[in-house]
Amino acid sequence: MKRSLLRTLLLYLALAAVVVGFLFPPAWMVVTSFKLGRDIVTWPPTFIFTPTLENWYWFFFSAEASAMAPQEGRRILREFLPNSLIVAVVTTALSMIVASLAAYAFARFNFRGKRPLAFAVLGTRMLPPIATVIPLFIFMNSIHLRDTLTGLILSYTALNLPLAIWMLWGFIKEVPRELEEAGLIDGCSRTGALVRILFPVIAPGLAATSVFSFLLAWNDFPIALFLVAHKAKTMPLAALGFYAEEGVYWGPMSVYGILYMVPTILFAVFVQRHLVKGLTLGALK
Amino acid sequence: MASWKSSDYPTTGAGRTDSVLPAEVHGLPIARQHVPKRKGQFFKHAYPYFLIAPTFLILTAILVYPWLVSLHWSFQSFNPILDIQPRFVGFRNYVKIFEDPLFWRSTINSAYLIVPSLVLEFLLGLGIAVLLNRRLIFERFIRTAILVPMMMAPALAGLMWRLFVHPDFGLFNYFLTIVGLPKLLWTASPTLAIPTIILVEVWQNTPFVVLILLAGLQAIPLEQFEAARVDGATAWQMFRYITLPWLTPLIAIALLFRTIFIIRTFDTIMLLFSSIGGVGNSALVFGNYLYFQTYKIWDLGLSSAISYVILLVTGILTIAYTVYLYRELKF
Repeated sequence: MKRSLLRTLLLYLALAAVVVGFLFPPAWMVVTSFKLGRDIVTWPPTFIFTPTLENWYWFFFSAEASAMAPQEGRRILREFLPNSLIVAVVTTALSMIVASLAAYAFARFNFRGKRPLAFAVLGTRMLPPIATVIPLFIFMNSIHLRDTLTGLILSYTALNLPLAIWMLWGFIKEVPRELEEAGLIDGCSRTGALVRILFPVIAPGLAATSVFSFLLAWNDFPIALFLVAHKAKTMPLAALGFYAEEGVYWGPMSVYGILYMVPTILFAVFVQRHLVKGLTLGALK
Repeated sequence: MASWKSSDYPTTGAGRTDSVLPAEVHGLPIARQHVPKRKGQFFKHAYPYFLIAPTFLILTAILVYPWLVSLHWSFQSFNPILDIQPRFVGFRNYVKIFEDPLFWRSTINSAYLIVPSLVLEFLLGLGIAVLLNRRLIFERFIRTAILVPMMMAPALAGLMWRLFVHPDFGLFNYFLTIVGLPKLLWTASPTLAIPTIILVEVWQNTPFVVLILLAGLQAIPLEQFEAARVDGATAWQMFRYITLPWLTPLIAIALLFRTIFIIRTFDTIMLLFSSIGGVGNSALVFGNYLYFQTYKIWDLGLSSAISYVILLVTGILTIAYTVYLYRELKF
């Protein structure tokens, strides 16, 4: 009895260390956002300081670049943030429509060439993303979509499809086929059965997959860096604006980091229940 | 051929769901059903292909075709922005890369980054997954906490770690001094550049390994353990002979994706260091090399060739997993 108590204690100590380890860097960023510049760069780092909203104020209200940071906080809010949201939302919608059709085909039908085709889809996922920026750059330049939101959306959708299809495939496979067959007998069309019967059942799976599609577009830095010149700037590109000759503008940068992180945290809370299954590519029976 | 049992229907394609409808066809003269049946069958056979068509259209147009075009350009020298006309140069781009000491520097750095990161991510991931594989209080909170680094933009991870490991006022150094260790230079030191990136990579990506392995652990049939316990197996034997074999395909998937994605490490480094490759190129890996050469030389032929070299390296590093998974995954 005593021994098992000790084991439980050790288990929770280890878990606490894990949680603290994973959460400390973002937490420290939140703390930093409430510090004045001079409190940020002191040694030893201060835990007790007078909190200030100056960094936040600069971000939402300052009309021009100031001593706080060389770029404008409001420009990030008016330009970078909406661009990122548009790109991520449209990418998600587009990839979900296209991927759910393909996942349905793979999960429910046996057709000639299914296995090689499925692996071809997964194979495109193996193209190293950083190397893909050059082909994408040349291609988007040739069809005049470089430096446009459309170009970004098309790129992210293509990169999204493999994982989205594999996740949805897994979710659909868990639903008994008889469910849709019942719908077909009752006079549903096949596509009707898909939309009205299957989709509601796998709604959590659709949501989890959407989160991943959204995050791929929301988080991407390399493709945006290469494709965007000045018209279609997205959130991650704003990060570079806090690095200047004279140093890094830590305070405003922390506020930016928190704003950029908000969807991530919301989605982490939301997705934590449904995520796991979809990532295993059907290796679990 | 005279009788139309449902088993005569094609078992491939949409025909599978049709077993509920054969009555409609029963009893009709063969000659009469021939024409409509064929037409219907064409659509039945084609239906799944219609469903996957948009996917293949997009993947072909936006990934495969550009990659093929790049292969063509990798034998040319050109720049569409400055309007420099393409010029055929044969294998000269590739020769240039392999003769470039910076390329070899980035190869060594990449290896130094990839191997320890994957080993650490695997060991830590397995350990944490085993810890989490039970009923816990605060279970949802713990799982959410683990998801946060994984879902965060790599650029953002680089940014916050730059603050966290700052040589002069970083919290990490403060912790080191508390336990009596000296302050370290981290990103400002050539010898610690790669270890710093490893730290960030492991922090950000161990959760991915945890999630996949945890899914595997939770699906192990418990009877196997009970049978082993009856036979007097020790905890280690059960882990070694039941858990590990069960997890093997999942370990392969986790490591496959981690390998593909660690080769792309770029955003983290861009924001972790002030320069593209860190102090004296000590943090220059494949991704940064590509960026550096592209923006220095602006020859997209050369850049295409670098892309293909990175693709080749990825292929070599992942071929074993891929072959294994192709055999293992059934659907």
